[in-house]
Amino acid sequence: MSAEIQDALRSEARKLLEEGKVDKILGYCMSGDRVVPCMVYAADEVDKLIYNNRCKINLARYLRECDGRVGVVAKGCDSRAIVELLKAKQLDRSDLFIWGVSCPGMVDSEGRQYRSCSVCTHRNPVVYDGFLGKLVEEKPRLKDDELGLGSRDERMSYWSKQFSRCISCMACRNVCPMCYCKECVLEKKDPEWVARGGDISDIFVYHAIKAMHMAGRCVECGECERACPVDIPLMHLYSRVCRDVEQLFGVEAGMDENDKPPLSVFDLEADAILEENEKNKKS
Amino acid sequence: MEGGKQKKKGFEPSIVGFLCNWCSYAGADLAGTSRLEYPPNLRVIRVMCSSRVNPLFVLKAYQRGADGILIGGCHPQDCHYMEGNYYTRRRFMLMRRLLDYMGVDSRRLRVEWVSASEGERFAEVVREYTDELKKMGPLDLKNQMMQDER
Repeated sequence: MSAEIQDALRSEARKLLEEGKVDKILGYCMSGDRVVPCMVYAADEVDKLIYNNRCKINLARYLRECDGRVGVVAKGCDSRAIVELLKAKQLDRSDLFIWGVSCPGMVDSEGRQYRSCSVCTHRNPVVYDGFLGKLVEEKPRLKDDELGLGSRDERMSYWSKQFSRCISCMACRNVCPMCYCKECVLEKKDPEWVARGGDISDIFVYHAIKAMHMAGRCVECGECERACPVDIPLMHLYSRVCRDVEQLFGVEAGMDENDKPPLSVFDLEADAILEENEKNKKS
Repeated sequence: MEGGKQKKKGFEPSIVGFLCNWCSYAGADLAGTSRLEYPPNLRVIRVMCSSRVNPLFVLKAYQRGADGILIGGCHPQDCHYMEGNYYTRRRFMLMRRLLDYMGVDSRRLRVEWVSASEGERFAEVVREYTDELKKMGPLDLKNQMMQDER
């Protein structure tokens, strides 16, 4: 099925470039034996474009840095990231032409499916101008807490062990389609909220604040986990925050362009009830 | 802040209080001028609105040795800026859950609504919270994580 999508994509891309409806196409191509994101500017280059089950990269990350009218290939997670960026006014919808494609679940070079893809509940794109291929069946969401962490102390020691490997390289932030701030609090020098080369408590602050910033925003593409050189299971943290946002405020990230950011709005009565419930739950 | 903290016996928690200028801070003021007694464990930082409190402030306070955080704002519908405390409410509801997932007891982050006329209530909140934290013992985030990382 990927081959059909690939053929359709190439002919569609050629047509759009020839008609001058877009200036460039953002898609995937091969570089050696790796799949990399690439930009196609001319109709005679469209045969470079590919689509298969190794196109894991979230293109929304690159879309942010494009100007002019762009045609883009979007799987479930890419399209949700695009929706989130549109909500945050980081992209202009009129500049985009989106080809929605369904995702077979991406695999690494050894054919193993990525964890983010094996738990994915949105393989079909949510926003597109043209759809290529066929819709796939969505999987139900897994039960909470796959890590199976029991007590609070267990969780503390689990994350401490994970964070002890962190080298603060910021790859997780750099690769994240949602991290678009021009000035990042993790890098600020005055005041230096997160000390570089600090101890493990600085790493805790780093990851905790990044998770807070992901609230109602993370589309669970899993790029952070793949980019992490020391394999910290970061997506668990961000997924957890997003599940909490869904439970509390009923908003799922990247599903509707008209949703408001959950922490920038309020609901007087509903929030009062929530507050009461949360208080009773803990005591 | 450090001395004697390891000993659970006689443990005095340090609480960082972010108090809204218009309600809780005035409430604390009233408690003071009314000569009400409450534990000296609270270190107050005045903010212009409880929604000024960034989750970073909370994390940084834990990192620097705070055992509990008290965020004081106006009662719902009484915010000086009309709606600031509604954002506070959502933000810290979420943050409490995140802290819990990361292994920090969510009771160590408390949001209370105290108005400028509730001096007695303010003193009561601080008394009660100090007692609760005394029972829980120190957080000592840095050392605990350093022990756990091995």
